[in-house]
Amino acid sequence: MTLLKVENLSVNYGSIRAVREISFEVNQGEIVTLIGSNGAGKTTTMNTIAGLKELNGGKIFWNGADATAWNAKRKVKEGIVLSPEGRQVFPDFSVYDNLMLGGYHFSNEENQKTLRTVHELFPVLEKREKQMAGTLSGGEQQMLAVGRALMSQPKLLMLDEPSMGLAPLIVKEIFSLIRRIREEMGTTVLLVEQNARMALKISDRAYVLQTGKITLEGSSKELLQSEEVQKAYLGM
Amino acid sequence: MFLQQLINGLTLGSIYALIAIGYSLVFGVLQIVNFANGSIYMLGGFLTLVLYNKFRINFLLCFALALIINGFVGFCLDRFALRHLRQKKATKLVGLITTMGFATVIENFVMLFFSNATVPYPNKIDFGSFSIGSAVVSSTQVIIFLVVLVLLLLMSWVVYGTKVGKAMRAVSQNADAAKLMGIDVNGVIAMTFILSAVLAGISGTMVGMYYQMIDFTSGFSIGMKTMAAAVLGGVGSLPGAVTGGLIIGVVESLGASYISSAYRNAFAFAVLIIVILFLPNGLFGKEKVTKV
Repeated sequence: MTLLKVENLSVNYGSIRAVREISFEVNQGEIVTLIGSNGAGKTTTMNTIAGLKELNGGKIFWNGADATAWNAKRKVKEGIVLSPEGRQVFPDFSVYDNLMLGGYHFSNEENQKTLRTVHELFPVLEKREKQMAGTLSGGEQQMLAVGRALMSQPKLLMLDEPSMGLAPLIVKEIFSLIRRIREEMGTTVLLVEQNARMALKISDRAYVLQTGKITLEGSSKELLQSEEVQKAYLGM
Repeated sequence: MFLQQLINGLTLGSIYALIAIGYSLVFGVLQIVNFANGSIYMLGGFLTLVLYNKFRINFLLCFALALIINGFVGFCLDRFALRHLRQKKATKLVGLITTMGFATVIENFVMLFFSNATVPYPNKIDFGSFSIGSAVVSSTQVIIFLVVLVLLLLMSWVVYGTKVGKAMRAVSQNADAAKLMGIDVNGVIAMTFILSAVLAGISGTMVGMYYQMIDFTSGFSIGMKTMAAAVLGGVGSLPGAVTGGLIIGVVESLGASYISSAYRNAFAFAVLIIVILFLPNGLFGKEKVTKV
């Protein structure tokens, strides 16, 4: 079943077209990844789907309904949740308060329930509950950002560069957690990554973005073997 | 005389604190200084007076009505001017100048339709006075002080104890991230403008009663002084705004009586300059760390 369908999406920054008529879809239960180098339009695509950025052409469908005109609030309420690039935690709120803001639209009781699941996935967030988010390490902030997104009870969890600026060991941990999120919570995941190898290893399908266009698509296994991808993104 | 001037200064300062909070709240969510805040303060004072003179009904009722209108004016400033600028991604400076323009519109409106001269203001909270030692404390001062105290407690409850307040603080830390939480950022900003306009309106009416006069230019100097108070305390910080307001009020009163009342307005800015020289972020302001 198709959960998210993006059709001929175009997004401009002023007179610059950052995303050119791209189309892709994410099915229920999948982990789909968009890979591409710097400036390929990955973050722009994610921000547009989340409702942070206005689109200049194309359509977005959510569960078959036209979601093109929905604002960020509506998207969150419908279950489209983005954990943004650069983590963007609230530095002057405690870890607990950050998580609770993730559950802004839910009752306190419901949030306490979700919180237990999030704590199981990220025990460090329980340990650091009272600490200000701004004082966490990069890896912990990333876990908080993902945990905060999970508090919004997403149907589609969008992760923008969760490995950015993190040590290899922590990157590994984050990626294995992404798989666990899908397995344990049944959440569909749309992942954007520069770390193509890791992203392809944990995902089912992938799209390659190049200067605003989708140049390749297929199952992650296929793409891992593809010569083009190996040369351009895996450094082989 | 010192005690007397201290009491006068604290009364004035408590009102400054109330207006300064308006600057801090708006600066928190938008990172611009709302230069219309002083004019909105003056408008609030005038509205209460004009409604009272026109309908001759219960003063408190006129006061409440004036606050509603004032809140609406604050809302309009954001809804019909600043929000469009945000959508067009205009720089902060454009927003700031827009608030100056809005101030001019309000002042000219009051001058044209209400009065271009100083008008007497009825003091409805004058129930006599009592003395502490050599100092005389009027009921007006006591009531102003109590009203401000209650409002400050109320404001800190709103900002630190409610969901709306949490949303406000989230927006001030990171507006985009707040949007991703499903927070209606424009709604929060509108709410902030309404709150700060209502606080300014309450202050305008109380100062009108305290001085027993009002004129359409009175918003400018108080606007500047309270902005100085907000900067002095550290822009964006509520305890800072309150402390800054009290300091400026007391310094102004003491300076006016011990040095010269001709320099009344200068004292506030002298304090500001001195503090900024040594503490660029204000008393309670946090040092801003820009991470790359």
